[in-house]
Amino acid sequence: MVLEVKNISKVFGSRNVLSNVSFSVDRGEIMGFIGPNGAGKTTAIKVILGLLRPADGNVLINGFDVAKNHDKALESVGAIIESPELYPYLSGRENLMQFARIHGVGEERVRECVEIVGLSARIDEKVRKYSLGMRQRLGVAQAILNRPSLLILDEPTNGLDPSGIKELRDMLKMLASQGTAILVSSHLLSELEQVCTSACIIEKGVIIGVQKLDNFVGETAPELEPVNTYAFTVGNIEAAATLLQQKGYQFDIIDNLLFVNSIRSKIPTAVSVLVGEGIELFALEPRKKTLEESYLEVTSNSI
Amino acid sequence: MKFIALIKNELIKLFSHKSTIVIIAIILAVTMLWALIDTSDFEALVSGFEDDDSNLPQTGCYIDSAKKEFEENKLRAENAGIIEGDWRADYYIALQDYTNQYYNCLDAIAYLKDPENNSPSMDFEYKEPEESKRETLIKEYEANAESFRVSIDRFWELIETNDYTSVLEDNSASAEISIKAALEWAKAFRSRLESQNATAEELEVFDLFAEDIEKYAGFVRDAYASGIKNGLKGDPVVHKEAHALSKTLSSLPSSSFSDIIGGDSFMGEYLPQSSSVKDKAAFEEELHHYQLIDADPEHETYTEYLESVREDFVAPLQKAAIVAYAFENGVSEMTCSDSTRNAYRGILTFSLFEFIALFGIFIAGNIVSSEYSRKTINMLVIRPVSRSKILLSKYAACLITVYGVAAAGLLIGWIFCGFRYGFADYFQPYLWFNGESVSNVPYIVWFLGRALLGSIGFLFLTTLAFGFSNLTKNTAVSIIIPAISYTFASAANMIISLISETFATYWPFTYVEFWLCVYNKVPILSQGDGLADVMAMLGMGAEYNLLYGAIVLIAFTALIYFSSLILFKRRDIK
Repeated sequence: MVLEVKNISKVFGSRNVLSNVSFSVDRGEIMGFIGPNGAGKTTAIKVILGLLRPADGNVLINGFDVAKNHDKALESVGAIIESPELYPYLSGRENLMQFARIHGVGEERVRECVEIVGLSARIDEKVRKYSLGMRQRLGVAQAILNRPSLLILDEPTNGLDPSGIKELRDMLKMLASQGTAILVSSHLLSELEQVCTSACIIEKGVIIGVQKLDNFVGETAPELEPVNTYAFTVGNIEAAATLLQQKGYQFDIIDNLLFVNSIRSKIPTAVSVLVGEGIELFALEPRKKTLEESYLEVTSNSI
Repeated sequence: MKFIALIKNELIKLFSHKSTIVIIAIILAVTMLWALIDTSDFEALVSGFEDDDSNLPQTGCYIDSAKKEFEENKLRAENAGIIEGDWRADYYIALQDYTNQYYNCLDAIAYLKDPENNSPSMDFEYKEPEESKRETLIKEYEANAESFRVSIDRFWELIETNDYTSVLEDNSASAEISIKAALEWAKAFRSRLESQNATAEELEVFDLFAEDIEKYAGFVRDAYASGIKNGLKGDPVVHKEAHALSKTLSSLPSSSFSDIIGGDSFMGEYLPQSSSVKDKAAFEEELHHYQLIDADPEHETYTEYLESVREDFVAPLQKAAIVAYAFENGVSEMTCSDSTRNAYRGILTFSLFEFIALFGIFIAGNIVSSEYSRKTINMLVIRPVSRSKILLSKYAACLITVYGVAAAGLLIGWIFCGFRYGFADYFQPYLWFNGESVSNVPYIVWFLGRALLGSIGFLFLTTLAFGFSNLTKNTAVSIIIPAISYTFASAANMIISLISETFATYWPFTYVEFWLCVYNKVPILSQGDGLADVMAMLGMGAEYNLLYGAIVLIAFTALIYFSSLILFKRRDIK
């Protein structure tokens, strides 16, 4: 594991901001960090990066404890926290050089990163003249300067136009394919869904679900085999529904389609029941839950 | 390497601000201008010598004669080739003053002899002389007029022969009178102490004081002997230096002895009735009267008094020793003359270092707090470098900048003072008296050592602002509070000294203008304002010295820095 967060807690005054938060991110994994406003996402990220000291627990990055071995732990970490604030009186290039020097990275790498984020034309202007989107790109550039093995991005698409968002998405996929572990926090679930391979859901400082985006392993669904949704197109939807209910299947009827929630191995049985009772079956296709659906389901179950 | 990179980053950020460059340019420009502009030159250019004819007779029969001779003197001085800075200028000024007074005497005599036909002279304009004293007054004025005439003629002789050796001989003779009087006074005062049952300790202290007076006498005599022996005829530069030394020497007896023996009209066996070296019996009676000592007085009180009198004599003794050395070795002593060295240290301590102190506050007050206000602190702390190094790099960048600008200012001051006053003087040594003999060291070595020592003052102020910057995360507060504390330190320190000497002794702001050490002074009580003099007279105020001040400042500087470090390391960055 590149990132291991183990039972971290954080208290501000009398308020528990984080309680027993644990998750991990592996090489090549892109984890979406999802939660409503005030859930504790940014606080957790700040604890991971050593900006805040946890009351309990610890964070390991590449095996190094952030609290005890700060320098080594953050050696190959790149991050954007909230809006990346840079020095407005310096140019974009000078800002990047500030961080490049600390990482021991040369001007060549700075040039590469500038090209990756598409700021070559404006890189020598003062940052105070940059738009929000340009600052965001510069923020991404500083995060990837040191070729990090762990990339942490808090709302990275802020201010980016659609093409910028796509470029970022492609970049993240490329980095992940090269083995970089990525933790992305965002409100844009549709965007996260397109790039993330897993999701970690946090609410009120507590992790309520960690989801591989093909199936969900959450605290409310401990089955060994994942439950998926299958869309049945049938001739007599009411009769089909009655039969399936008798057999104990969970389903929803939406837009004249019968959506059956079941483990994969029980679907043939459902088909046999319907066909055996003379109900016409025109089509059957598995339907993937959107991230938004999963998130809403998990958060509603946790209430 | 990362640490060096951090410092480089901080310096780039500091110098990327236009305000930093502008302030540095102003500091260096002011230093340069101060070094180049000498306002006394402007006065001299405008008015020439101080020909003050306002005291010439304005009425009476001598108006025309007085003015005529006054103008003739001017011409005569030009013909003698007196230039500004020439030792003879002093004599010319005195001569013109004596001319004024000579004619005033003649005017007074004329009025006293024939008040009907002469208008009252200046001395009698508002007060008529008593009839019974007219004859006595006439004789006095005639004697004075004669004395002034003799002095005027003597001065012209000295001026026109350019014979400074004779001047030294005259001054030596005057000094000898004061010295002999002081030595005889010391003998007489010792006898008085014995007759008043002084303790062995009191006598011991006074004996040491009497030894100092003898040493002083020796130095003064040696100084004049060297000056006269070396023969100073002809060379105006040497004359100028010798004159400066001699002026210092001739002022010492009247300034130091008058305080001790009650005026310089001391004659042989006469024991002064009023003296700041108080009669033992009278002193103790005074202490009893004010209930400052018990019925059985501790003799240490009088001993301490004698010790303080001896301490007051240290400065003139040192000066006499140094002047004697300077005369003997043909070197100049920087505090005696308008030397480049003296001008240089004055400009730098009263101009450059004060600006540097404020500059340090400005830089340090901003360097940490601005990271918080801009929220760039996040981007800094998430790097693979410890918070200790981050904070230390900022502190180091502050100090490098402040000391760098101070060094640049020193260099500019050096160059432009040299242009203004001459570079040759820089190669004269710095002289000091170690109690027994005079030692010397190259001036630049001494000055740089003192400048470094003095820099502890602005090191403390810079660190204070740095601490505030880290603590408050607010640039305005971090600059304003230290700046105000520094600006009003003198006034506050006076009040603190009055309330609690102990607290004042440990209070770092007591020593904050530590660069005054180039004047061998400890700040606060040496700033020469009236309240400090009153406090000294009353024996109030803590005893400060350079070593102690340096320790207090360094200790507080370290305390502030390490407190800031602990706070920065442990603080959550939200």
